[in-house]
Amino acid sequence: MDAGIIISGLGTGAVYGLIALAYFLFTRATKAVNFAIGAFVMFAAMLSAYLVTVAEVPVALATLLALGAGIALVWLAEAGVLRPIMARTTDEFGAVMAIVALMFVLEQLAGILFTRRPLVGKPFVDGIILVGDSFIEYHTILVLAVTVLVFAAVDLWLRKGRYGRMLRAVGDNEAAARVLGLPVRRAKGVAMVCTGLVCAVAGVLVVSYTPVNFHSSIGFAILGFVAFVIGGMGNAWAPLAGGLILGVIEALSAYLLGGGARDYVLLALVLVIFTVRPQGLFHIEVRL
Amino acid sequence: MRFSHYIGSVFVAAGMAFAGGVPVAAQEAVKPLVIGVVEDRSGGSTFYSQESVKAIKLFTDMINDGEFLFAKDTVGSEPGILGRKIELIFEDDENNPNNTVVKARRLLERGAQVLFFLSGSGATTQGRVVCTEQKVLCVAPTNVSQKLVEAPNNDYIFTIAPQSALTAQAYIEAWKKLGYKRVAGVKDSTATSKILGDTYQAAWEAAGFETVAVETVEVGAPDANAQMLRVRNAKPDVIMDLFASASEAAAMYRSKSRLNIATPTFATNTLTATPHIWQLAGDAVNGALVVDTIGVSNPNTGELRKAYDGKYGANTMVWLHPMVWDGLIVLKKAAETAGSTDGTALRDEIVKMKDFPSSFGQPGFTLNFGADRHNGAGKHGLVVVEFADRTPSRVWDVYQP
Repeated sequence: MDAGIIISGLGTGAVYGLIALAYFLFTRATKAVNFAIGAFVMFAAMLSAYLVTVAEVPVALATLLALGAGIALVWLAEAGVLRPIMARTTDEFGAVMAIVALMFVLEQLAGILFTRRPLVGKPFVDGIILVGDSFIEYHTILVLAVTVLVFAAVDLWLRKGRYGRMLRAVGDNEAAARVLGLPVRRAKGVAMVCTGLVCAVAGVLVVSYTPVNFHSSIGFAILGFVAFVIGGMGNAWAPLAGGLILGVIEALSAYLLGGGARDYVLLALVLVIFTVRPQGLFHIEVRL
Repeated sequence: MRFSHYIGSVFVAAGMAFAGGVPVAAQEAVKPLVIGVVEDRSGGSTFYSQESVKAIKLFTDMINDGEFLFAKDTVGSEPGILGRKIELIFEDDENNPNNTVVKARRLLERGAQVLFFLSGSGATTQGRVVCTEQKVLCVAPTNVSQKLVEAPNNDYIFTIAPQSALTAQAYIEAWKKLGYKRVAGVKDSTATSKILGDTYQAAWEAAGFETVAVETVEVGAPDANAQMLRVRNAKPDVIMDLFASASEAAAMYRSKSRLNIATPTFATNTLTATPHIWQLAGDAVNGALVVDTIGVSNPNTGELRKAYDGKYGANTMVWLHPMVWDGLIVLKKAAETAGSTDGTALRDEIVKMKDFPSSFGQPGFTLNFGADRHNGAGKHGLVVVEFADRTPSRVWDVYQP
């Protein structure tokens, strides 16, 4: 067994964890699962890669623009799509369909703006450290470091930040939060900004390493959701646990069973999780 | 009847006869010859499909303008085909075999008289059933699978590019020359890659090589580290790139480079056909060897390259483009010899073509067809090239077919 493959899996899993964190934040704020999260990640990734490789924009500026685009897209999704629908109806089906439609719109928009070919950005760091026969990529170290920083920042914000603590109240009981005079809309807005930032960070990290195309949104959406389900909603670190587990299992299945086994193993994992522990590894216990 | 009325009636009758006769024939003569093109705009073979589409659009314009380059010695210089302009219509099958039949039929419903398949081999293999059903001439100039021209449903379809079995033989001869014995194949999960992989693996195993690993990189996989580690652990003498999808091919080269795997890598001509892989893989693609078809000193290739690069930019012509050109010129020759665009007539003319001057391969290479030979290429249509500076810029000095 090559330890490098587990570390490589952790790196991929960290990105899944970031996407799962985006699901976590959005769900906390709106009680809705936003499958367009995958499209936000894809859009930010393709924008970043396009700016760097085609428009020849400096990497730092391209990254900032991608972060801005991520924030704008998520905010628009909530304010322009989800909120008007939820204001008119309590039926969640309409909101879900609107989000799915948004996902397809973003996919096609990315294909039109950035071409339908895969794009890859420039690596932030390149090379590997060889440890005996095993390896650790510098990129994996960077991804893990950035991911831990992001999760730490979000966790701190949720526990100590003004709007983070409000978000916990809004997420638990929005009506009560309104009655108490909490600025619900502003709290949700800040949560959208955080969600967009997290999506964009995930997109920029993944595209600096591997090609992304406009169809990648489905993969990001599904794998991020699976990581979200595995981790649960118990706390802000739960999505990371889900992502890392998913990433390692994915890497190990390809290494031990061959690349063709990947999809079957992931499907089996999803079935097991939904059957045995649908609330995820970390969930909030409510005592009545 | 007064005489003036009589004369007027004569003129009216003559006008009606004229309207009923010659204009209709004139209309037929100016009606364009519609070629239906099945392309892949969004599936796993988009990259080389769209390269072929660029070529067919340019070459159609050239033929409509009477620019035949070296082919004027074969087909003359009359613009168009049978005095008719060529019009192209397109349908996207997404390289999905389930869509190809539907799209081919739709092209015929839209008025196509000939079909060109510019999608993946797996998809075209399904789509050719329409050619047999409707007795329509079909050309798949860039597909390399020999299954396409094998029964059933092969009566009306022709391919131009050297088949993967022929190309596989060139690899085998090169590997024998270098003393290789153990081969590892790496491919993606598309239907086209599976067909390519099966063909090449069968060929090298029949030649006595040992398959020590065959790894698949699923479409959408984030990297190929696991697969390349398995390949490394199998200790092959040579790695064979069997990819059809650009992202996954690039992921393999990047993983191979990151993991410092120095095993020589040969690739199918999907690599030379897809400049996008060179961009995605970067320096990691240097050193890869490909049995390609673009001749170094073939003057016909040079003429075509000048025309293509003139339109699309320097060094943009890849092996796909001469195949499309040859497909169109073969069609023109067949139609003008037959005096018809009827599928059966065209087929019967093509199977008689021998020593047909080609735009690719080694100097003097020609296409040869027959009743049981619907692929026109032979081994001198192949040239082994090596990647350097991220492009297939070197002719390999170790072996040529």
